[in-house]
Amino acid sequence: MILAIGIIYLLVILVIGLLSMRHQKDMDTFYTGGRRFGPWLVALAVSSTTMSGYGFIGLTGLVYEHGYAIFMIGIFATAGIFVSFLVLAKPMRRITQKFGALTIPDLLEVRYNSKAIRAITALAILGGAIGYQMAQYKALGNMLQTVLGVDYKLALFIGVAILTVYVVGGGMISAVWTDFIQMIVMVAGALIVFIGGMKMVGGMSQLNSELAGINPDMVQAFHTTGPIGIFAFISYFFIYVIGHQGQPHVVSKFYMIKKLSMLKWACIIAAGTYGLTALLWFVGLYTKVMVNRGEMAAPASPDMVAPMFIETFFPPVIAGLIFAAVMAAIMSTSEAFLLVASSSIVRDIYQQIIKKGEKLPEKKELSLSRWFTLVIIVVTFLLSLNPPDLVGWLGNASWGIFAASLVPVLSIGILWKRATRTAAIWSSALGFVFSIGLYILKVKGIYVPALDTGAIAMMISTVSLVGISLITKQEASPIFEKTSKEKAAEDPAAANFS
Amino acid sequence: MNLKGGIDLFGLSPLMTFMLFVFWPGAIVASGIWGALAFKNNEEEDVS
Repeated sequence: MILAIGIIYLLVILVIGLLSMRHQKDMDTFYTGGRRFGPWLVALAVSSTTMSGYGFIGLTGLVYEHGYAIFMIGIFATAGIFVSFLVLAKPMRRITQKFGALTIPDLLEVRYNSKAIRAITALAILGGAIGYQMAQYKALGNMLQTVLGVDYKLALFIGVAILTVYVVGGGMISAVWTDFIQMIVMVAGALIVFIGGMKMVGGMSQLNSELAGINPDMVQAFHTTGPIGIFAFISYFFIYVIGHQGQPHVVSKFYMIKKLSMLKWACIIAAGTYGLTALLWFVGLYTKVMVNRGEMAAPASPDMVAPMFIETFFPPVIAGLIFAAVMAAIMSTSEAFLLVASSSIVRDIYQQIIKKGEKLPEKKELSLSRWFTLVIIVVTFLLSLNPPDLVGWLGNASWGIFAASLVPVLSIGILWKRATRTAAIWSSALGFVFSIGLYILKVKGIYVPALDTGAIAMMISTVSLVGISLITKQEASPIFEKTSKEKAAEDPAAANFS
Repeated sequence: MNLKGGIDLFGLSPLMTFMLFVFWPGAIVASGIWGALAFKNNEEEDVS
């Protein structure tokens, strides 16, 4: 039964991909879906891409190991969705449409009038996307391994093959429609597990009392000793509340909405549905208690916590639905990353830098985008055959790369006229280098800072953007120039004289 | 209430109680309020 539901779900997703292929006419449709989506589609695409395989599988595993303190990631990410809408949604929708930008590096080139900033941010997006994508693939392999009963490598191959058809074929139209269906499945799955599991362990007070008995730190917002201390709490605030604005797979959804006024409902729908799906993390806590009671075996790896708990305690029909929800989380984020990464190569690196801005025929650009999407899928698939141990930490590091390289240049740059080109180049480059460099030093055990490496890198890139801007000469940027229509709206009398 | 005067529900620490039951739903409610206020009178801003 689990297998049947899993197969039905995958077939539905496949059909959407095939149907969307017919609507792919140009690059704008491939990368932005033609900017014609309503509030529900955009909001559920934002929340489903924020809640990834790293979120569903990786963080459930980390909750199993460290308790409630890991919930801070989701709590802060919910606030991050709100802050991203608040800061970026309106200006990004306006600027990208006004200047015909399709990607974040496109927008940044317009803002700073610089090809260098396009190149650096495109490379940062590509680097972060490959790391994040590996976390998704590892989660996909672990999940299908349990559902299909095959080994990890074959499970990964099957999942990636389906993903290939609907992303390479259908582009953003297919990605947004599948996001919509995937988010509904994810919310339903998370609620079933949250309520069913809570009854199983005997209610919240019972759950927390047993967790505190295992380790008193399990019911704290941060631990008194170890890596999840007060500095982790502060780091999560920076990376997930502020850093959410630098997640290209999420904020790129802002310029797909049909009308600005539709953003009115999109924000609360996105934050609310994300919050509901995060209830699945209680599985980590339930598993800890059940293992402690001797009612289930300890999972071999934290990444197997969610699949094992669902398979052990839920009837096959419900388990099938929950498995579909987890696969939905993984696939919705994967498809967004693939599109973001391929646009970085084709539009930002190949067309604008190697071909020096030469206009490629629309058909050739679309075909190149599909080929590069395929290349990224194959490269990441090969890298994921022997991935690092924990999905959770890999996803966290990639989130940090995006936050450090993109948040200051994008958010401060859009709001602050004084931000200069030189400062933006240094800020993004330092953010990228420090986020990767510090993460490598941490993994190798050479330097293990108290704060998260992504948070440190984001602070460095923010300080350098502001500091260097203040000591360099201010430049004009077209995004702050008002059109005659905008001037007229602000001051009709003055407009009549001009 | 615990000894330090913080509110702790279901055996969670006061800070965790606040983050889980106030901050988290608060962020979602704030999203709704922002949407309602930011787009109260600007239907004409639509550019498409």
